[in-house]
Amino acid sequence: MAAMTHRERVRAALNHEEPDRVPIDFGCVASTIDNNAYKRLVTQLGMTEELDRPDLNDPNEPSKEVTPSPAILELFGIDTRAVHPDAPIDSQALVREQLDPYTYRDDWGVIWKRAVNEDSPYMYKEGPFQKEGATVRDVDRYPWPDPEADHRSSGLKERARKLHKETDYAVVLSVGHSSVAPCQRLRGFSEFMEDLVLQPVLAETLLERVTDIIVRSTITILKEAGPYVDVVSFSDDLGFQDRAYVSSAMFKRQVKPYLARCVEAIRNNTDAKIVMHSDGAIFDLIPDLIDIGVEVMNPVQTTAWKMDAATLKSEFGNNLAFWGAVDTQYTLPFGTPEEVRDDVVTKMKTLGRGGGYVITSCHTIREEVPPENVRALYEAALEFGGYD
Amino acid sequence: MNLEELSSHIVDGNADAAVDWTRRALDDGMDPMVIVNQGLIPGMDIVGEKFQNREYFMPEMLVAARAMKAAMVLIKPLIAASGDEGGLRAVCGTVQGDLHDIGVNLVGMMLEGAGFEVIHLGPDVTPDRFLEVVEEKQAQVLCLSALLSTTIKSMKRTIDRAQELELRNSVKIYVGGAPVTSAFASEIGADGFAPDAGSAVKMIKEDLGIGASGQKGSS
Repeated sequence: MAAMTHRERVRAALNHEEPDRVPIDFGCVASTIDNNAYKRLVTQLGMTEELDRPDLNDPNEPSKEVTPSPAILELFGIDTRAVHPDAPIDSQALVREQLDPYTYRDDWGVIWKRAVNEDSPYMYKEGPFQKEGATVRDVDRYPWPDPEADHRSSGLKERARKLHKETDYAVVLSVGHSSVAPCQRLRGFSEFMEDLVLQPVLAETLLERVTDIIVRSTITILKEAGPYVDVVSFSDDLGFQDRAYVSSAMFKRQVKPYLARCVEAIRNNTDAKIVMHSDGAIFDLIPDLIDIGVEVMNPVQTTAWKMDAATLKSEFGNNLAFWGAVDTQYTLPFGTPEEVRDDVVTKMKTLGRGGGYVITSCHTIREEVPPENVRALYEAALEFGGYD
Repeated sequence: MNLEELSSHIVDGNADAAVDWTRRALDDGMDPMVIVNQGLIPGMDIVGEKFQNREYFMPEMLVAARAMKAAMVLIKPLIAASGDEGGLRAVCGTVQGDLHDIGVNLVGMMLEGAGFEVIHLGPDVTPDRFLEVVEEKQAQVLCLSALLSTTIKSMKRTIDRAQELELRNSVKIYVGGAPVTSAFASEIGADGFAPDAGSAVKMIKEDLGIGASGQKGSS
């Protein structure tokens, strides 16, 4: 087969056709890399000029996810390029009010903390409704962020158009979270779970408000970038290692309608393929996700319950493409480069049959991943990804 | 009064009914330890099984634990007054560098449901802090949790530190969390690993020789 352009390759794969080789992502859909792992990678590759990048050396964030430079993406033959909205209305929004060196508040009013005892990344801490006796009235009266007013249009459209017109990469845009993760952060993870049983009206009100904002934010972002992007991703979290957060029945009844609105807002404002990111054991929810219009699933956590690659491909492969799947829980951090290579080859063989697969790490490459293993992943993807 | 009724209120997560039942039983002069051992704990055992079988998910389990805690509010002062505490203590927390504590909170809740006094240390706990509390409380059980492949190394550091402080033989140490496997658990010298909160508590009870009634060594 004649070589395809990067964009053609990704589009073909996501249309369930076999391209010339399995397309490769690095940095676009939950596939960024920890700054310290990245520093070791560029050092090993002799690209030490990269080490001065300011985002690699922020004393306030000794550990954070970063995007690889164009030179690295070029080196590994990466088919995708990310375009970022400047202020996604997201639970990890760019708007931060630093409360102390370990703590900040985002524009939803959610508090994020990093560990005091070790250099680790910021993680969700608590939300404004995380208190006994929170009411529907509290939710109604809350000073919610305003996605249109807060969106600083600083050239998203231009950046997306430039990538679309001047390069042949597949352009990937993230519109942030769908409804569940923000509700869990605003109300507290366990509290929100309990509300679904004990105070369904409160849960519903919160889901409704959050979804309204996400829908408006999505429309705002896609009005600018929608015509120029090939892939739109959104993320949520619906699964633990051993099960989904909620039963399939509860998901259908109380959660799915809100996620459906989030996906609908994307569908109505772009022709791009829609990727959903959710970690964990979400096998039982996948039919409902396909039903609301999700076309591609990321990160494909094959180590989670019932999520092995062969089962996913045979059960859902006709209706769903996959993005990710190279194991980040065991193989990348603790395996040898040979084991990483084997995992890459197996995943491409299993998930890539008939197209329908974009390969990358199953989630961010974390601090402890050795540079040899990052190279093994991307070098093997390029070397063994051919369909001939 | 039928203790199975109380168990089923716990299984259904009906806190009001559980509290009401407990109040009436206490008014009738029922022994609080009988209520705990033959009503609440068997109820939570069923919850644990249903969780293990994936009949229950997180919301149902949390709501059941809430019902049990609500009933315990009435019982605790009476047990404390009679000095008849089970004496089972567990320290639970997420290891240094990791702020994810949902899983370990579930385990702690299930241990409370099994009659343990649980000391929740929360996230980002240093090895020394864990062991200081284990020693102070003379806990028989220490549960360590981590979500990240980055932080599971802190589990080994905690176990090694227990060895150094000569506490290793007096406390059973269990590890859990998304990236943890039973191979990893034995490699770092932990006493056990379980994939979910229901099976974790079952294993811990078996290891300590605690029977279905919640009484140590009674079976």
